[in-house]
Amino acid sequence: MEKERIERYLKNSIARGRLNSAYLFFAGILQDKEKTALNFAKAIECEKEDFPCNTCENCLKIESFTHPDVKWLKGEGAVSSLAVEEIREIGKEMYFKPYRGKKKIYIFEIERLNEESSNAFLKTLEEPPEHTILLLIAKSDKEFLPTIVSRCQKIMFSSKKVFTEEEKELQKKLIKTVDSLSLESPAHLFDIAEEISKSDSLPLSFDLLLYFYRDLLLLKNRAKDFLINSDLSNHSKLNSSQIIRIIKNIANTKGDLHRSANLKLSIELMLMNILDITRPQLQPQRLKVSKSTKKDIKIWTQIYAD
Amino acid sequence: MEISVEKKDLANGLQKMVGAINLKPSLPALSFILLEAEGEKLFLTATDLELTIKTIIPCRVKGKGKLLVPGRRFTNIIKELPEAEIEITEDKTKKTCIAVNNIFFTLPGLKTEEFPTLPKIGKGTSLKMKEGALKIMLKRTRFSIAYDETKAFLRGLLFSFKKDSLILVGTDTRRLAYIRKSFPSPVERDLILPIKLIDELEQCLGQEEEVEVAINPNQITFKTGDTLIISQIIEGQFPSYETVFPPEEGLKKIKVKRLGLIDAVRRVSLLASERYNSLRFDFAPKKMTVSINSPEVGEAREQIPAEYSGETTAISFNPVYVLDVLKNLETENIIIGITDPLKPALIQPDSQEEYKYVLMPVKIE
Repeated sequence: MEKERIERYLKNSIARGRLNSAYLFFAGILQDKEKTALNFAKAIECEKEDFPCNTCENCLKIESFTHPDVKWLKGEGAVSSLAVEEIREIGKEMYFKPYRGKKKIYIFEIERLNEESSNAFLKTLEEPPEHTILLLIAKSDKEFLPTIVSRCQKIMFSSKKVFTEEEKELQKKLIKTVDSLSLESPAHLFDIAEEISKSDSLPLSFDLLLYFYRDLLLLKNRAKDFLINSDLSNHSKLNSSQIIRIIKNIANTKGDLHRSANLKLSIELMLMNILDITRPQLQPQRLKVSKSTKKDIKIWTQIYAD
Repeated sequence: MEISVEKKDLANGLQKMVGAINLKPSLPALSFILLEAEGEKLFLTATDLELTIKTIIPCRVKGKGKLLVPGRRFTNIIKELPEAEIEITEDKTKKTCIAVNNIFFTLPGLKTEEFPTLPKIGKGTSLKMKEGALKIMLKRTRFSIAYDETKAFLRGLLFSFKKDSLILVGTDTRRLAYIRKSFPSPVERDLILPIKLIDELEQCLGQEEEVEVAINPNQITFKTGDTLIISQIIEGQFPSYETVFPPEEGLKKIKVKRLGLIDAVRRVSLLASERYNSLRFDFAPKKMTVSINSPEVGEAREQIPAEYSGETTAISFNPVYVLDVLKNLETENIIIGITDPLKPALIQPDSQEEYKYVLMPVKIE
């Protein structure tokens, strides 16, 4: 289902007093699931009749992640998971009645649970007190024990993302920039890298690029139905393996955002890699390049020697 | 905010907060103490979402307002300050400044909005009871609560308000402590209250004063003096405890000196080992024998006088469970009641107190 429809559905179940004790939000896009979870929590705790009002104390505290009854647990590690102690702690704590809200809400953002954690989690799911709601945000429902999944109401998010006009513009611009890359003017590449690294729409820029290549890949594989609205003309020359390499490349660089890597350097490397992937037929030695550009190439081949 | 407060008053107030400051908080604000200055009072509040403590101390308020101070650190600083009037102010950058004579401290602050708002209290039922009486009831039952049991209701104490009485029950499934006191209650309700609250109350309650209790759907509030102790109620159904009491009929009762029994159990259990850790209690007319036989460690036996006239019988208990109850009673004599070596036994004080301690025997080897 789309995010809007899911939110409408959840709001209705609150109004009818038909809340489940556990939900599993899966598939789709993480930001959508997070946003929906936040809105759902607000709608549950909101004091107003027309919930969520986004103005009452409950709503505001949930928005700023300081509500005492709404706990957000993000998994740690490469494959995000929760330690068994953490889950046991929650299993104990959830029996205390809500501090100020109507329900106690635990939002787990995890991809997978190991065996021990799964069992602990199952135990908390077994007989949750009436005032608790557990919400699992995951990539897939396949990563968890079927006994866990069967105790949750499964809500599948649609991966169809609707871009705003601004996002569409930005995507177009980015693609255009990537297309304009050329080995003949490395200075231009550095400028672009600089520009991207300094823009304030950073994680989004990566996402937009990723979506673009994702669509391209889907189109190549004749999976038109899953396309996110993108203009894909002119890129049909790339083959699947090239596109996958590009996607990996962008995703890696996006990961650098969280590390304190030198962002500009990472983006330069990303752009050059893309260039390298998209135009492998152009070998540098076959190019006619000026002396100064040669020097440039020499410099950056040294920098990225490994 | 700008106030000046006596060090002694502030240190005393902060001392009361200790139980509610969370050292590994799920929200950053939970490791902070909220200071609110208004009128001629300074309100201190700390919470870990399970237990909330609020107290009032006198102070001179030059500018009212509120701020958050890092709980542990602030308390430690105040403790080390000389006995004098302490100036506490908030500077333009929202930092807390503490000044006495020529000593200055500046602490980073946190937006007061991040501190959880106190649950609404007052609309619920309220009742009053003597602090000393409640304290005794807590003492008699507290030790039976399980520390690390998976079942939530076993990590708390049952407060059962009846029309004419208050009953407290604590259990860890192997033993159970029950106490009943006549007490006119305006509500009939069973509540399970967490161990943290019980410990806090045991510390805070005095003797002669009256404690005011307010019961709300999710919280219970104890008001003693200027201090409010608010605790979340544990959700759950407490196991029905009446069924485990041994029936009065057929109960063999042995009367024995409490201190004498404590000494005997302590001495004999010196030979308890990991494998053989239960003590055997033999009852014969006018005497009682406490013994242990651990093949690897040795044997011990001690005879103590007892008032008993029935047939000889024997039962085994975990000595820890016996000592726990003996230490928390005060009477000169106690009464042990047994029906069968494999069925729950009873320990009671030799007094009018309506107290029952039920413990499961260990199988006699």
